[in-house]
Amino acid sequence: MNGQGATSIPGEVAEQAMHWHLELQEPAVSAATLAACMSWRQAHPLHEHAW
Amino acid sequence: MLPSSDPLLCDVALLYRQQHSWLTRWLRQRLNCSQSAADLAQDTFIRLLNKEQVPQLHAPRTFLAKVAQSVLCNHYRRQKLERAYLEALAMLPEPVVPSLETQAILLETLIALDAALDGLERPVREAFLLSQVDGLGHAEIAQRLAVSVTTVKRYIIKAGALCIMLDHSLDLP
Repeated sequence: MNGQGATSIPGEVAEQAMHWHLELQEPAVSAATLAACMSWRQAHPLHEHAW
Repeated sequence: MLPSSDPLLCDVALLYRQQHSWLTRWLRQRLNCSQSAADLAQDTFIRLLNKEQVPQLHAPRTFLAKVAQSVLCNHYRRQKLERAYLEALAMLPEPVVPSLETQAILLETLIALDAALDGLERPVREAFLLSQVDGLGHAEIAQRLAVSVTTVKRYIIKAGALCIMLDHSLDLP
């Protein structure tokens, strides 16, 4: 399923995306959390792709 | 058919020649539809071609029936999903009904997701569905499944990551 094609997303990156997805679903999201999520997304094109 | 040195191909080709008609009849008795029986017979042989090897067969029909039974189960599961999907579509107000092309892509995605989630351990799948489909909070899911909130999050992350990878491997728009 994974590991094929140029756009495939490694399991680790997919899990990180899900981690941030859950963080942003918390009732009170801090500015620091938002900033950390943004910097994760910008850290690598694959991160943004998974997001 | 061309002669081949691939032993798997030879085994499957032989089975095909000897048992294809029998398998199609076997499937037709269960499906009550000649077209579907022919399709699923092909699916059964294709599944054999994807195997590492076909075991030395003393009872080829028993073996074929076992593989075909699994193909049949998939077929029924797919039909059930398709019906549920069409029912959900019928409830939508007309302006938001997706185009036929999008509908087809959505259905394929649904079937792929169903198969992927089916491969997960039961609590992982349940935590994910309770969260994403039923909209329950992590604490409530933890209570229902009798696990900690941290475990619930770990489950949701595991199942969600699988869906992300699937989504991108399907290369959807």
